Amino acid sequence: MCGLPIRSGILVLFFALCTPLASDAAEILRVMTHDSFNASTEVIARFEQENNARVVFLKSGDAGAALVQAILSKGKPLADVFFGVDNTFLSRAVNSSIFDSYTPRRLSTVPAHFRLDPGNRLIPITYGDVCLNYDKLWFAKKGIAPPATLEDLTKPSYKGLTVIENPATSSPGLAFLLATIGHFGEHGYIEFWKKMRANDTLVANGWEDAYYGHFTAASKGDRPIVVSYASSPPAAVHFSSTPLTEAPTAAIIGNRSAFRQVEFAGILTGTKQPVLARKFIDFMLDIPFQEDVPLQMFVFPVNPAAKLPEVFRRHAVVADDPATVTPAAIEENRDRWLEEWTTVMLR
Amino acid sequence: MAPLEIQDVSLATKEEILLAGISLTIGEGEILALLGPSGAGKTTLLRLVAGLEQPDRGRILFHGQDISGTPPHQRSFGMMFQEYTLFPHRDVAANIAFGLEMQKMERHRRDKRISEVLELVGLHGFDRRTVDSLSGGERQRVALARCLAPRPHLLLLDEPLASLDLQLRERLANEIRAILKRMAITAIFVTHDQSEAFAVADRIAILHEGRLEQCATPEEIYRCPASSVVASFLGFRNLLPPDTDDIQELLAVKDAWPAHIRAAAGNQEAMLLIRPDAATLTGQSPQGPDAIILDGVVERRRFQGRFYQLTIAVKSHRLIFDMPPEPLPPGPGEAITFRLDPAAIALLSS
Amino acid sequence: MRSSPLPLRSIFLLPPLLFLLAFYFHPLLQILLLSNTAEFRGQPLSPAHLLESSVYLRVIWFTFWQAALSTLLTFLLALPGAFIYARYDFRGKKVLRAASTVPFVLPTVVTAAAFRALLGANGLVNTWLMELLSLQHPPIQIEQTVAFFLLAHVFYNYTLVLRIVGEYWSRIDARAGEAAAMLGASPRQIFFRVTLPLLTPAIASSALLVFIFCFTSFGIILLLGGPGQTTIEVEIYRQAVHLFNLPMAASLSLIQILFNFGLMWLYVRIGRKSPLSFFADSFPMRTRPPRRLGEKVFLAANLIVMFLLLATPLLALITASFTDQNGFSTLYYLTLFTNQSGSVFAVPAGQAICNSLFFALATTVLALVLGLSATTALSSPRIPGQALMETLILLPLATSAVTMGFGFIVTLNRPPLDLRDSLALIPLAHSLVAFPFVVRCLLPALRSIPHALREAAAVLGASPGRIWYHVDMPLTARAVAVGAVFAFSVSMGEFGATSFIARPHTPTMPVAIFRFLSRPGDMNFGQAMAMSSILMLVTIIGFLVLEKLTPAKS
Repeated sequence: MCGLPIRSGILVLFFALCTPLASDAAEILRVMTHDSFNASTEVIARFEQENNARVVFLKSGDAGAALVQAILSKGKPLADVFFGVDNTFLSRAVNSSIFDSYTPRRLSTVPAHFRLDPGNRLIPITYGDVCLNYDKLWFAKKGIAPPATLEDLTKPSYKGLTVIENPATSSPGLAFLLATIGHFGEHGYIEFWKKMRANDTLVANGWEDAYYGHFTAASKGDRPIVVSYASSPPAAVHFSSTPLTEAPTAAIIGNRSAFRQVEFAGILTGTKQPVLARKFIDFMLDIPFQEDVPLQMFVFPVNPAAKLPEVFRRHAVVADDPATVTPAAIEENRDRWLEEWTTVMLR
Repeated sequence: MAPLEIQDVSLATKEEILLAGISLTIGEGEILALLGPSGAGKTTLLRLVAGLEQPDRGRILFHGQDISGTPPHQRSFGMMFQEYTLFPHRDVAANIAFGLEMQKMERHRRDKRISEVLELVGLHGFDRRTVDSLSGGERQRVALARCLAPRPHLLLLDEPLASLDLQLRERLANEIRAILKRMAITAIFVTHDQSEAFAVADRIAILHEGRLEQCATPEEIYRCPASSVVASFLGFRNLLPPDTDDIQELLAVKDAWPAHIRAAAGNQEAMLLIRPDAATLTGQSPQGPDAIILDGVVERRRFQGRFYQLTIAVKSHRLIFDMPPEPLPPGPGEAITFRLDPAAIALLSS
Repeated sequence: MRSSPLPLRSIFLLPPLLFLLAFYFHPLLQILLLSNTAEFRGQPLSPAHLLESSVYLRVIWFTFWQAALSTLLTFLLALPGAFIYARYDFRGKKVLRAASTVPFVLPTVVTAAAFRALLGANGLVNTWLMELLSLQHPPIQIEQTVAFFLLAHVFYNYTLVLRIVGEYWSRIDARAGEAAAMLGASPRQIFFRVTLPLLTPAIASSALLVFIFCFTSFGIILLLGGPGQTTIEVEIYRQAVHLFNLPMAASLSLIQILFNFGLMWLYVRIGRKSPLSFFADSFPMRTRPPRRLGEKVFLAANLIVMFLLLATPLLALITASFTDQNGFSTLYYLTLFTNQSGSVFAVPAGQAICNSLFFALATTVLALVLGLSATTALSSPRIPGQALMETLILLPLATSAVTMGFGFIVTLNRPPLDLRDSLALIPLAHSLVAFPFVVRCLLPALRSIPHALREAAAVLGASPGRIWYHVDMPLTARAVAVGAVFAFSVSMGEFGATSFIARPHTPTMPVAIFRFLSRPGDMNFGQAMAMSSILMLVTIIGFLVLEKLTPAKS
């Protein structure tokens, strides 16, 4: 035993040699984001070259955890730029005054309905629709028509076919709850959920659990309808081990059944790199980054000038009339809605 | 019928033979010592009798019944381990009570029995002491009391005195014998110390490398070791091969050598043993014609209390003898003439 | 030594104390204080609500009984396993022991996937049973039931009992049992009246760990439990991250810490009342092949249980990693070693393996140094405040990872400890969990060495350092190895607060697995399974190397 510390010390040295060594760039820009953030190496390298900077990404857990950390480190920010506040948390983020106001040059080209913060502390970068997905093959085999509206889900023919995420622990889950509130209104939504429960709806705690654990198209699950994203079908094609001409799943987006999640970025108050941070916000609205977004994060770019990749053009759909709930209403009622939903669905 | 019969028992591991065809019989109330150097297979044999190990071959009979299939806890044997293995989570009384609890003895009878055996081993009033607080000798007594308490049909003692100091060892050896005899209990006693075996046992079985070398009373073993292995284990150092020229010469010139010993000259197999108490100074006793007289030079003289130990060079051999302190034997470098007692010379098969 | 009020060994308490102060108490205190500042107060649900609402009482009760039940089940299954490991020799023992620790490093998402692939409604077992018995509906329906995550808890914690108790058991003098047998005790009586009492320190030690683990269980409950099943830890996460109710999260954290503190304090107090130094200096239990038929059956039955419980979920996972739509395929493995997506965060598998190993080794070394240092002091009988110290060391294990992570955020972003983009953050956070583990593995072993042995060495002229090196260390080598293995696993499996800390992005194997599993597409799922299989393999090799570095006691 006696040699253990020494010998492991040598091993540590050995492995230290195979870890990446930091290169020396003049300026470091820290970008705090959630674990799902992604970007192409070339796109980031382009920013680094143009600005003689190095971008360090601080991954900070899921979207909620990342925002809490940003708020907790108010005044002494961990990073310069934050990416990943969505509209369900927008009011909360804005009210905590951790972001500096900045108007990027391309913001005017972004459609107005994305610009949810009039003070421009949070700049819209991407969007995606949370909606129902279904397993095309399953419905074809059974000879049943797939559901088209939210109301369909409560019909006897779809009994026991749906898996949703718990809005209390999952961000698409919350988005879908908001879709039903937007669709049925504050007074009608709870009736819908009562029927959903009666129709044997399965509640999973998170998206991974629902999609990979219960959805028939992605695993050995037993539920052909799942709450996911409108971009999930193109992702299923893109990440297929065999080339597919048609997506195995389809998204239901019509009749105000989807909820639109917009993701924002902002400059953290107290940054030591205000100039570089602004340049990065600009950069995120520029074409290269915007065109990189679909295949890296499977969401849509807010910049209408950005071209969508082939797989999105062929397999992705965008809701024309998403159900909407304002950030302020969400902030004010979230706890109560969650409590009501939990009472109806879980207790 | 003898209480315990060991019949042709063998046991081997992949690497070595532990026991090779051991047969032994132990009489009612007899104390048998298993004596041998470490690694001789003594403990293994004891564990076979206890049922803690199974023999590859052979049988063990208890009052005529084969007990090979009986698990240890149903044999009603007592065993005292070398390190006593007292249960650290129980105090003295609870340790002794363990075997009685297994017999489901009622509480008041149990308490009575505990004080009885504590009395027997001389630890009256030790009931509530923790094991940690006991001295080595006290632990040994508790261990003995613990295995005596359930009145075992056979008692197995594995080096019970090995970890004690010399003085305590001598005293306890005598005490153990006295206790066992008082209870008339049949016992097997494993030791590597010959004086301990002599002090405790009725009979001694000497094991060497898994073989039974000799099984006899202490007197017989001392007088007539069955082999050179036994002799050297008993501490006899004057072992001479009778086929060397010098010995031939010694044997030839002395008519006084017993005939059977002279006949052994040239026998490759035999060994000549001269016990350390065989020599006396020539001045001491009358010299008959049949006396064996040898001349030599003293190399070393060591005072041992009751006797002197002399190392004497006789021709090319070095012999070691114990001689009485009076009269003073010659010192180093001085010549010596001494007489050998023929009764203290034995011929051993090698 | 008697003349000095504090034994020399108490100096060794200093490094672990400083470590805890800087990386546990300071962050914890700061976050608890900050949560109750004006910034976060005025939430719709105030902590006072906690006592009024039966919801939270139910959460606390649920947390308690599921942890107790998980612990009990783990022991029922793992104690016989510990016995066969302590007593018998059989082929493949070493590899099996290393493999039995693999569940411990698997990210919860992977475990959930594995269990579902095996026991889910359309899992392997149900598919077979339906075919075999020609049933219409899957016979096993345990998804979202308590049984499902209890099973997962046993799966995770089996190895804790197997290793800690098994190692301790192997050092109990086998002749204590033999002595009992000679006094007429049947094997059953020996077990209950001799072995079990002697094993108490190791059993208590591992039971405490298992209980705390299940008490603070997060991922498993979230993924395998139904949405109605909420532990305090899940509720803390929900309150802090989804509802931004930091005061409530802080109050729940405090309840969790206080409850476990009370439990640990009780344990330490009781543990100290029965100092058992029954160290068998010359005859540690020797293992041997099983001989009697009963022994062979017992061994086989245990191996079957181990196989069913531990191996089948893992095998289901490995099977998935080699199967695409067309059957057997190595596609997922081949693509793992290239960065197909061109993402900044995607790295070839080799780099992820290196990163994981680097953090794991750094954690192991740090936790061992701290652990050895603390136990050296705590095993000396004359240190004041020992019980308190022991309890404090355990606390990080019982503290909410969410709370700890946020604590790190508010304290480690300013000098002198500005670790915002330091790689050290990760092994530090891992060590916070690994260090108590090492201590729990080492303490019972060190305490069972009679102090007289050290005194004997001192009389023979050994300096305190040499006594430690020549007496304490060789005699506890196995326990050190077990501690090292667990420290290594804790880091390989990314335990603790790391998922709630903003950290510089260094893709490790679990991070890569999360990344794959957070996106749709069979390629992602397959690659996640392949990466999990590689994680298992790397872990097993790591264990074997760690055990090789620790020569068996001669």
